[in-house]
Amino acid sequence: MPIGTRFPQVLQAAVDGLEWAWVELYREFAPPVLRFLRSQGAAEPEDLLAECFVQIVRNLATFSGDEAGFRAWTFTIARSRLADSWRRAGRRPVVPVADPADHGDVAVSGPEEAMMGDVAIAEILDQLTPDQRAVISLRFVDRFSLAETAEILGRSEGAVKLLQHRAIKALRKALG
Amino acid sequence: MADKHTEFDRLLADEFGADDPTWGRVATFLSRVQSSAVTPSVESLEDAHVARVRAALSALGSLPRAQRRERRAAQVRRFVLAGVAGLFAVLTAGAGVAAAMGVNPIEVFRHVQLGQIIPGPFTSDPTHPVVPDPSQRPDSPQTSAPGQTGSAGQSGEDHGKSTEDHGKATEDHGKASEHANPRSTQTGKPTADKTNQGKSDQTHPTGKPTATTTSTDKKAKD
Repeated sequence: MPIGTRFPQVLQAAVDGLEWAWVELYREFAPPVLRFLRSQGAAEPEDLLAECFVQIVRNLATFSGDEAGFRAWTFTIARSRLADSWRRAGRRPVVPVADPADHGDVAVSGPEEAMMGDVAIAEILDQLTPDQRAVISLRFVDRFSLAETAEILGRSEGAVKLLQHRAIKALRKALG
Repeated sequence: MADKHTEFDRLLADEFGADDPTWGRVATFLSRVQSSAVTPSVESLEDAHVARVRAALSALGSLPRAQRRERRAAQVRRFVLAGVAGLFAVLTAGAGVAAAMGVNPIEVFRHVQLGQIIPGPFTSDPTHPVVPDPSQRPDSPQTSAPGQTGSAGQSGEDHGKSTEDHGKATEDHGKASEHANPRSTQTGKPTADKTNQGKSDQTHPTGKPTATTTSTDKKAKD
Protein backbone atom coordinates (compact mmCIF):
# COMPACT_ATOMS: atom_id res chain seq x y z
CA MET A 1 0.00 0.00 0.00
CA PRO A 2 1.55 3.32 -1.02
CA ILE A 3 2.32 5.88 1.65
CA GLY A 4 0.18 8.35 -0.26
CA THR A 5 -0.47 11.87 0.96
CA ARG A 6 1.79 11.42 3.99
CA PHE A 7 4.79 10.83 1.77
CA PRO A 8 6.22 14.40 1.95
CA GLN A 9 6.13 14.32 5.77
CA VAL A 10 7.71 10.86 5.87
CA LEU A 11 10.39 11.93 3.43
CA GLN A 12 11.18 15.07 5.42
CA ALA A 13 11.37 13.03 8.62
CA ALA A 14 13.76 10.65 6.88
CA VAL A 15 15.90 13.58 5.77
CA ASP A 16 15.93 14.74 9.41
CA GLY A 17 17.19 11.28 10.39
CA LEU A 18 14.14 10.05 12.27
CA GLU A 19 14.19 6.28 12.48
CA TRP A 20 10.43 5.71 12.25
CA ALA A 21 10.43 7.33 8.82
CA TRP A 22 13.18 5.05 7.62
CA VAL A 23 11.31 2.02 8.90
CA GLU A 24 8.24 3.14 6.99
CA LEU A 25 10.20 3.75 3.80
CA TYR A 26 11.89 0.37 4.18
CA ARG A 27 8.61 -1.49 4.63
CA GLU A 28 7.14 0.22 1.59
CA PHE A 29 10.00 0.06 -0.88
CA ALA A 30 12.23 -2.83 0.18
CA PRO A 31 9.96 -5.71 -1.00
CA PRO A 32 9.70 -4.64 -4.67
CA VAL A 33 13.40 -3.77 -4.77
CA LEU A 34 14.26 -7.20 -3.36
CA ARG A 35 12.02 -8.86 -5.94
CA PHE A 36 13.72 -6.90 -8.72
CA LEU A 37 17.17 -7.84 -7.45
CA ARG A 38 16.21 -11.51 -7.31
CA SER A 39 14.68 -11.43 -10.79
CA GLN A 40 17.92 -9.98 -12.16
CA GLY A 41 20.01 -12.84 -10.82
CA ALA A 42 21.81 -11.01 -8.00
CA ALA A 43 24.11 -13.40 -6.15
CA GLU A 44 23.20 -12.02 -2.71
CA PRO A 45 20.05 -9.92 -3.14
CA GLU A 46 19.53 -9.36 0.61
CA ASP A 47 22.99 -7.83 1.00
CA LEU A 48 22.42 -5.69 -2.06
CA LEU A 49 19.12 -4.50 -0.60
CA ALA A 50 20.90 -3.33 2.54
CA GLU A 51 23.54 -1.58 0.41
CA CYS A 52 20.74 0.12 -1.52
CA PHE A 53 19.24 1.59 1.63
CA VAL A 54 22.61 2.74 2.91
CA GLN A 55 23.07 4.49 -0.44
CA ILE A 56 19.61 6.01 -0.15
CA VAL A 57 20.56 7.39 3.28
CA ARG A 58 23.68 8.99 1.80
CA ASN A 59 21.96 10.46 -1.25
CA LEU A 60 18.56 11.37 0.15
CA ALA A 61 19.47 15.05 0.44
CA THR A 62 19.84 15.17 -3.34
CA PHE A 63 16.39 13.71 -4.03
CA SER A 64 13.35 15.80 -4.80
CA GLY A 65 10.05 14.49 -6.06
CA ASP A 66 6.92 12.57 -5.21
CA GLU A 67 6.38 8.98 -4.14
CA ALA A 68 6.44 7.59 -7.68
CA GLY A 69 9.67 9.44 -8.30
CA PHE A 70 11.12 8.06 -5.08
CA ARG A 71 10.15 4.54 -6.10
CA ALA A 72 11.89 4.94 -9.45
CA TRP A 73 14.89 6.45 -7.68
CA THR A 74 15.23 3.46 -5.32
CA PHE A 75 15.19 1.16 -8.35
CA THR A 76 17.84 3.30 -10.02
CA ILE A 77 20.06 2.83 -6.97
CA ALA A 78 19.26 -0.88 -6.89
CA ARG A 79 20.18 -1.26 -10.53
CA SER A 80 23.43 0.62 -9.92
CA ARG A 81 24.29 -1.61 -6.95
CA LEU A 82 23.47 -4.66 -9.03
CA ALA A 83 25.80 -3.54 -11.82
CA ASP A 84 28.52 -2.94 -9.21
CA SER A 85 28.04 -6.44 -7.84
CA TRP A 86 28.37 -7.89 -11.32
CA ARG A 87 31.55 -5.93 -11.86
CA ARG A 88 32.92 -7.13 -8.52
CA ALA A 89 32.09 -10.71 -9.34
CA GLY A 90 33.59 -10.28 -12.81
CA ARG A 91 30.98 -12.43 -14.42
CA ARG A 92 27.65 -12.24 -16.11
CA PRO A 93 24.55 -12.40 -13.97
CA VAL A 94 22.88 -15.72 -13.52
CA VAL A 95 19.13 -16.04 -13.60
CA PRO A 96 18.12 -18.07 -10.57
CA VAL A 97 16.30 -21.24 -11.45
CA ALA A 98 13.62 -22.12 -8.95
CA ASP A 99 13.69 -25.47 -7.26
CA PRO A 100 11.16 -27.70 -9.12
CA ALA A 101 10.18 -29.34 -5.85
CA ASP A 102 8.90 -26.01 -4.58
CA HIS A 103 6.57 -25.67 -7.51
CA GLY A 104 5.43 -29.24 -7.93
CA ASP A 105 1.90 -28.35 -7.01
CA VAL A 106 1.47 -25.83 -9.80
CA ALA A 107 -1.68 -26.75 -11.64
CA VAL A 108 -1.12 -27.31 -15.31
CA SER A 109 -3.83 -28.20 -17.74
CA GLY A 110 -2.02 -28.61 -21.03
CA PRO A 111 1.33 -28.51 -22.76
CA GLU A 112 1.22 -24.73 -23.20
CA GLU A 113 0.32 -24.22 -19.55
CA ALA A 114 3.01 -26.67 -18.49
CA MET A 115 5.51 -24.62 -20.40
CA MET A 116 4.55 -21.71 -18.19
CA GLY A 117 5.80 -23.26 -14.95
CA ASP A 118 8.21 -21.12 -12.94
CA VAL A 119 11.21 -23.17 -14.02
CA ALA A 120 10.23 -22.73 -17.63
CA ILE A 121 9.75 -19.00 -17.11
CA ALA A 122 13.24 -18.71 -15.66
CA GLU A 123 14.72 -20.74 -18.49
CA ILE A 124 13.04 -18.62 -21.13
CA LEU A 125 14.04 -15.38 -19.45
CA ASP A 126 17.59 -16.70 -19.29
CA GLN A 127 17.70 -16.46 -23.07
CA LEU A 128 17.39 -12.68 -22.84
CA THR A 129 20.24 -10.30 -22.20
CA PRO A 130 20.42 -8.71 -18.70
CA ASP A 131 19.11 -5.39 -20.05
CA GLN A 132 16.24 -7.07 -21.91
CA ARG A 133 15.35 -8.98 -18.73
CA ALA A 134 15.45 -5.76 -16.76
CA VAL A 135 13.14 -4.06 -19.25
CA ILE A 136 10.63 -6.93 -19.11
CA SER A 137 10.72 -6.90 -15.31
CA LEU A 138 10.47 -3.14 -14.94
CA ARG A 139 7.75 -2.67 -17.56
CA PHE A 140 5.58 -5.76 -16.95
CA VAL A 141 6.09 -6.56 -13.29
CA ASP A 142 6.80 -3.22 -11.67
CA ARG A 143 4.79 -1.25 -14.23
CA PHE A 144 7.22 1.59 -14.68
CA SER A 145 6.68 4.00 -17.55
CA LEU A 146 9.04 4.22 -20.48
CA ALA A 147 10.66 7.36 -19.06
CA GLU A 148 11.07 5.83 -15.61
CA THR A 149 12.55 2.65 -17.08
CA ALA A 150 14.99 4.72 -19.10
CA GLU A 151 16.00 6.60 -15.94
CA ILE A 152 16.48 3.40 -13.95
CA LEU A 153 18.60 1.79 -16.65
CA GLY A 154 20.51 4.98 -17.34
CA ARG A 155 19.59 4.92 -21.02
CA SER A 156 17.60 7.04 -23.43
CA GLU A 157 13.94 6.29 -24.10
CA GLY A 158 14.84 5.32 -27.66
CA ALA A 159 17.34 2.79 -26.37
CA VAL A 160 14.72 1.34 -24.03
CA LYS A 161 12.23 1.07 -26.91
CA LEU A 162 14.82 -0.85 -28.87
CA LEU A 163 15.45 -3.14 -25.89
CA GLN A 164 11.72 -3.78 -25.59
CA HIS A 165 11.46 -4.67 -29.25
CA ARG A 166 14.39 -7.05 -29.13
CA ALA A 167 13.16 -8.65 -25.90
CA ILE A 168 9.75 -9.37 -27.43
CA LYS A 169 11.37 -10.69 -30.59
CA ALA A 170 13.57 -13.01 -28.52
CA LEU A 171 10.54 -14.20 -26.53
CA ARG A 172 8.57 -14.89 -29.72
CA LYS A 173 11.46 -16.94 -31.00
CA ALA A 174 11.85 -18.82 -27.71
CA LEU A 175 8.11 -19.53 -27.46
CA GLY A 176 7.92 -20.15 -31.21
CA MET B 1 9.47 0.14 -35.46
CA ALA B 2 6.31 2.07 -34.63
CA ASP B 3 4.24 -1.06 -35.21
CA LYS B 4 6.49 -2.98 -32.82
CA HIS B 5 5.99 -0.34 -30.14
CA THR B 6 2.28 -0.62 -30.63
CA GLU B 7 2.57 -4.37 -30.22
CA PHE B 8 4.52 -3.86 -27.03
CA ASP B 9 1.89 -1.47 -25.75
CA ARG B 10 -0.80 -3.97 -26.63
CA LEU B 11 1.15 -6.62 -24.79
CA LEU B 12 1.37 -4.32 -21.81
CA ALA B 13 -2.35 -3.72 -21.96
CA ASP B 14 -2.93 -7.46 -22.41
CA GLU B 15 -4.94 -6.87 -25.56
CA PHE B 16 -3.75 -9.89 -27.54
CA GLY B 17 -6.24 -12.71 -27.57
CA ALA B 18 -6.09 -16.34 -28.49
CA ASP B 19 -6.88 -15.49 -32.11
CA ASP B 20 -3.24 -14.61 -32.75
CA PRO B 21 -1.29 -17.73 -31.78
CA THR B 22 2.21 -16.23 -31.82
CA TRP B 23 1.38 -13.04 -29.96
CA GLY B 24 -1.01 -14.94 -27.77
CA ARG B 25 1.79 -17.15 -26.52
CA VAL B 26 3.95 -14.12 -25.75
CA ALA B 27 1.06 -12.39 -23.98
CA THR B 28 0.36 -15.51 -21.93
CA PHE B 29 4.01 -15.82 -21.02
CA LEU B 30 4.22 -12.20 -19.89
CA SER B 31 1.05 -12.44 -17.82
CA ARG B 32 2.52 -15.55 -16.20
CA VAL B 33 5.70 -13.62 -15.44
CA GLN B 34 3.57 -10.97 -13.78
CA SER B 35 1.56 -13.37 -11.70
CA SER B 36 4.58 -15.42 -10.61
CA ALA B 37 6.42 -12.34 -9.41
CA VAL B 38 5.43 -12.58 -5.78
CA THR B 39 6.51 -9.71 -3.59
CA PRO B 40 8.87 -11.20 -1.01
CA SER B 41 8.57 -10.55 2.69
CA VAL B 42 11.32 -8.47 4.29
CA GLU B 43 10.26 -8.88 7.91
CA SER B 44 13.18 -11.15 8.73
CA LEU B 45 15.62 -8.67 7.18
CA GLU B 46 14.13 -5.49 8.59
CA ASP B 47 15.98 -5.37 11.91
CA ALA B 48 19.40 -5.93 10.38
CA HIS B 49 18.83 -3.52 7.52
CA VAL B 50 17.37 -0.77 9.71
CA ALA B 51 20.41 -1.13 11.96
CA ARG B 52 22.63 -0.54 8.93
CA VAL B 53 20.52 2.47 8.01
CA ARG B 54 20.95 3.78 11.57
CA ALA B 55 24.72 3.32 11.35
CA ALA B 56 24.77 5.14 8.02
CA LEU B 57 22.73 7.97 9.51
CA SER B 58 25.12 8.38 12.45
CA ALA B 59 28.10 8.29 10.10
CA LEU B 60 26.40 10.93 7.98
CA GLY B 61 25.85 13.06 11.09
CA SER B 62 29.53 13.03 11.96
CA LEU B 63 30.59 13.76 8.40
CA PRO B 64 29.93 17.53 8.37
CA ARG B 65 32.06 18.00 11.51
CA ALA B 66 34.99 16.19 9.89
CA GLN B 67 34.50 18.21 6.71
CA ARG B 68 34.46 21.45 8.68
CA ARG B 69 37.72 20.51 10.45
CA GLU B 70 39.35 19.60 7.16
CA ARG B 71 38.20 22.84 5.53
CA ARG B 72 39.59 24.91 8.42
CA ALA B 73 42.94 23.12 8.21
CA ALA B 74 43.05 23.80 4.48
CA GLN B 75 42.31 27.48 5.09
CA VAL B 76 45.13 27.76 7.63
CA ARG B 77 47.48 25.98 5.24
CA ARG B 78 46.52 28.35 2.43
CA PHE B 79 46.94 31.39 4.71
CA VAL B 80 50.40 30.32 5.87
CA LEU B 81 51.54 29.54 2.33
CA ALA B 82 50.18 32.84 1.03
CA GLY B 83 51.90 34.68 3.88
CA VAL B 84 55.25 33.05 3.22
CA ALA B 85 54.93 33.69 -0.52
CA GLY B 86 53.94 37.31 0.11
CA LEU B 87 56.84 37.86 2.51
CA PHE B 88 59.25 36.35 0.02
CA ALA B 89 57.90 38.60 -2.74
CA VAL B 90 58.19 41.71 -0.56
CA LEU B 91 61.73 40.81 0.48
CA THR B 92 62.75 40.15 -3.11
CA ALA B 93 61.25 43.41 -4.33
CA GLY B 94 62.74 45.35 -1.44
CA ALA B 95 66.18 43.86 -2.02
CA GLY B 96 65.93 44.72 -5.70
CA VAL B 97 64.96 48.32 -4.99
CA ALA B 98 67.69 48.68 -2.38
CA ALA B 99 70.29 47.27 -4.76
CA ALA B 100 69.13 49.64 -7.48
CA MET B 101 69.57 52.53 -5.07
CA GLY B 102 73.11 51.40 -4.31
CA VAL B 103 72.37 50.23 -0.82
CA ASN B 104 73.42 46.89 0.55
CA PRO B 105 70.03 45.34 1.36
CA ILE B 106 71.43 42.94 3.91
CA GLU B 107 72.84 45.83 5.90
CA VAL B 108 69.53 47.64 5.63
CA PHE B 109 67.77 44.65 7.11
CA ARG B 110 70.29 44.41 9.91
CA HIS B 111 69.57 47.98 10.86
CA VAL B 112 65.86 47.50 10.49
CA GLN B 113 66.15 44.68 12.98
CA LEU B 114 67.94 47.02 15.37
CA GLY B 115 65.18 49.52 14.96
CA GLN B 116 67.37 52.06 13.24
CA ILE B 117 66.42 53.60 9.94
CA ILE B 118 69.55 55.17 8.58
CA PRO B 119 69.61 56.06 4.91
CA GLY B 120 72.74 55.85 2.85
CA PRO B 121 75.70 53.47 2.70
CA PHE B 122 76.60 51.35 5.68
CA THR B 123 79.65 49.60 6.89
CA SER B 124 79.75 45.87 7.27
CA ASP B 125 80.01 46.36 11.00
CA PRO B 126 76.56 46.92 12.45
CA THR B 127 78.01 48.53 15.57
CA HIS B 128 79.76 51.11 13.42
CA PRO B 129 77.18 53.20 11.60
CA VAL B 130 78.28 56.00 9.41
CA VAL B 131 76.92 59.45 8.91
CA PRO B 132 75.82 59.40 5.28
CA ASP B 133 77.88 61.43 2.86
CA PRO B 134 75.77 62.33 -0.18
CA SER B 135 78.83 63.22 -2.25
CA GLN B 136 80.16 59.66 -1.95
CA ARG B 137 77.10 58.00 -3.43
CA PRO B 138 77.63 56.49 -6.86
CA ASP B 139 76.14 58.56 -9.65
CA SER B 140 75.53 55.62 -11.90
CA PRO B 141 73.43 52.67 -10.79
CA GLN B 142 75.25 49.66 -9.51
CA THR B 143 75.85 46.93 -12.04
CA SER B 144 76.73 44.22 -9.61
CA ALA B 145 74.31 41.65 -8.27
CA PRO B 146 71.96 42.78 -5.51
CA GLY B 147 73.69 40.59 -2.95
CA GLN B 148 77.11 42.10 -3.63
CA THR B 149 78.13 45.43 -2.23
CA GLY B 150 80.68 46.19 -4.89
CA SER B 151 84.34 45.42 -5.47
CA ALA B 152 86.76 44.88 -2.65
CA GLY B 153 88.34 48.22 -3.35
CA GLN B 154 85.07 50.00 -3.08
CA SER B 155 84.17 48.39 0.16
CA GLY B 156 87.62 49.09 1.38
CA GLU B 157 87.18 52.72 0.45
CA ASP B 158 83.89 52.82 2.25
CA HIS B 159 85.47 51.28 5.24
CA GLY B 160 88.29 53.76 5.00
CA LYS B 161 85.89 56.63 4.82
CA SER B 162 84.03 55.35 7.75
CA THR B 163 87.21 55.03 9.68
CA GLU B 164 88.12 58.53 8.63
CA ASP B 165 84.77 59.84 9.72
CA HIS B 166 85.09 57.89 12.83
CA GLY B 167 88.44 59.35 13.49
CA LYS B 168 86.93 62.77 13.21
CA ALA B 169 84.23 61.81 15.55
CA THR B 170 86.78 60.59 18.01
CA GLU B 171 88.59 63.85 17.78
CA ASP B 172 85.41 65.58 18.77
CA HIS B 173 85.41 63.45 21.89
CA GLY B 174 82.38 61.51 20.94
CA LYS B 175 80.21 64.43 20.07
CA ALA B 176 79.51 63.36 16.51
CA SER B 177 79.67 59.71 17.31
CA GLU B 178 77.04 60.19 19.90
CA HIS B 179 74.70 61.29 17.15
CA ALA B 180 75.86 58.60 14.79
CA ASN B 181 75.79 55.74 17.18
CA PRO B 182 73.06 55.72 19.72
CA ARG B 183 74.59 52.71 21.41
CA SER B 184 77.56 54.79 22.41
CA THR B 185 75.18 57.27 23.91
CA GLN B 186 73.59 54.54 25.86
CA THR B 187 76.79 53.14 27.20
CA GLY B 188 78.44 56.52 27.58
CA LYS B 189 81.69 55.15 26.10
CA PRO B 190 83.48 56.78 23.20
CA THR B 191 82.60 55.18 19.87
CA ALA B 192 86.22 54.84 18.87
CA ASP B 193 86.92 52.39 21.64
CA LYS B 194 84.06 50.26 20.63
CA THR B 195 84.20 50.27 16.87
CA ASN B 196 87.92 50.15 16.33
CA GLN B 197 88.70 48.31 19.48
CA GLY B 198 91.20 51.01 20.20
CA LYS B 199 93.35 50.07 17.22
CA SER B 200 92.22 52.54 14.60
CA ASP B 201 93.35 55.61 16.50
CA GLN B 202 96.66 54.09 17.34
CA THR B 203 97.62 52.83 13.93
CA HIS B 204 96.16 55.73 11.98
CA PRO B 205 96.30 58.78 14.10
CA THR B 206 95.68 60.94 11.04
CA GLY B 207 92.51 59.13 10.27
CA LYS B 208 93.66 57.70 6.94
CA PRO B 209 91.42 55.15 5.27
CA THR B 210 91.86 51.62 6.39
CA ALA B 211 91.81 50.54 2.75
CA THR B 212 95.36 51.75 2.38
CA THR B 213 96.38 49.63 5.28
CA THR B 214 94.64 46.60 3.93
CA SER B 215 96.18 46.93 0.50
CA THR B 216 99.59 47.42 2.10
CA ASP B 217 99.03 44.35 4.19
CA LYS B 218 98.11 42.38 1.09
CA LYS B 219 101.20 43.51 -0.68
CA ALA B 220 103.30 42.59 2.33
CA LYS B 221 101.71 39.14 2.33
CA ASP B 222 102.40 38.69 -1.39
